Amino acid sequence: MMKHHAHVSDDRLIDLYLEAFGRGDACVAPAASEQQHLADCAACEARRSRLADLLTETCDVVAAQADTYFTADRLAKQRAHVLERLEHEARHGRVITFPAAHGSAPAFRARPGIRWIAGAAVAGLLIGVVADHVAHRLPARQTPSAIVVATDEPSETLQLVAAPLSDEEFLGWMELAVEGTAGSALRPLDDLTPRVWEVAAQ
Amino acid sequence: MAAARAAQPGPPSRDSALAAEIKGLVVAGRRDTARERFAELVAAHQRRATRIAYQYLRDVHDVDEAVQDAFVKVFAHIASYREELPFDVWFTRILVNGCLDLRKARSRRLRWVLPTPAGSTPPEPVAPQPSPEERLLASEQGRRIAAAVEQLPERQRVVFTLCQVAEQTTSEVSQALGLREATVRVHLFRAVRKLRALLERER
Repeated sequence: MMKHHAHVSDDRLIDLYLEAFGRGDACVAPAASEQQHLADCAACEARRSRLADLLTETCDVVAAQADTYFTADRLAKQRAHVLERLEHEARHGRVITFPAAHGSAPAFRARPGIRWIAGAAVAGLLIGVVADHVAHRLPARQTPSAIVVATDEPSETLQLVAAPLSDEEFLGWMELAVEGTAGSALRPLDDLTPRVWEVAAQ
Repeated sequence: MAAARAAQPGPPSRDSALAAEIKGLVVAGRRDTARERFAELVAAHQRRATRIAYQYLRDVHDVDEAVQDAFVKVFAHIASYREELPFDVWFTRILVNGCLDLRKARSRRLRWVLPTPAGSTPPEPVAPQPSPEERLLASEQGRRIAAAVEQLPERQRVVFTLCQVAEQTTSEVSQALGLREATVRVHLFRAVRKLRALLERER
């Protein structure tokens, strides 16, 4: 009389699929009884077959999503760009960082006017943070001469703001300034301020 | 970190051996020869890389940039490549980190900077006839599958892509993503269950 084993679970079917392609490092290889059950049980075999079809079809579609844009020509150009960059790096001793060096058009571009406004806002915010920091560090009662001495000293933080920054560094500073603990008090104000694209859309 | 875990036993793959050879050339100061050999590695991995990056970025220009950057970084740091780690795991880890950085930079730009008008980006080249991939995506079944994949949470989608499309083992995916292997398996099982539920419901 034939022994009846329990049906193979869905997760186990996935395991067996991975195992069949050598991709399931942690999978337990099918036991003889399991293989026998799959051979005998039409329902389990049909489930396994449907799962394999589904995974194969999905895999093809996911691959096609990128392949439809990245044709053989485009991949050849990409490869040429990579090798050009490596050659450039060898000649100049450093890699030119995004986005200055490459042919691909950047998706977004800063408008100079908006950049100055944003820069002024960040500078104001940083000056405010520094002033707040200095005010808390100074003793509560201080003579006017002491204050004059303190302000006469060059401020490293202000020098940092004045230093030339790349776009990415600049935006990083803005994020830091807004997300830092000192900026939390300004969060409600930030929430009330419309974003540049919102203004542009109106 | 997961990447520091013991690597797979057995002989190194062809790509890992090639990466080790390139490392040797760079260390010996023969950078020109190393670059020539590196072109082979780029050719072998770039299609797979674009498929992975596409699942993170969904933007052709960003994918192109992320893949290029990953290869440049790999070459720049090839001297630190450890031969006991499979090359594709090391490369995938660099690529994934690059994609995450690029996406962060993109969201930062979106927050502060106006996007350029739609007309200013160059149009995609149009093939004279639809490619087999385009025909697949345009088919009813292709559209349904693409829509189902789109509904997967990102982590599940990426794990699915790495396991099924990039043909990595669950152990390699765990090293590339810095996750425990059991977690990778959970994400993979959930992805498959969800895909099946979405696709079989419509049949």
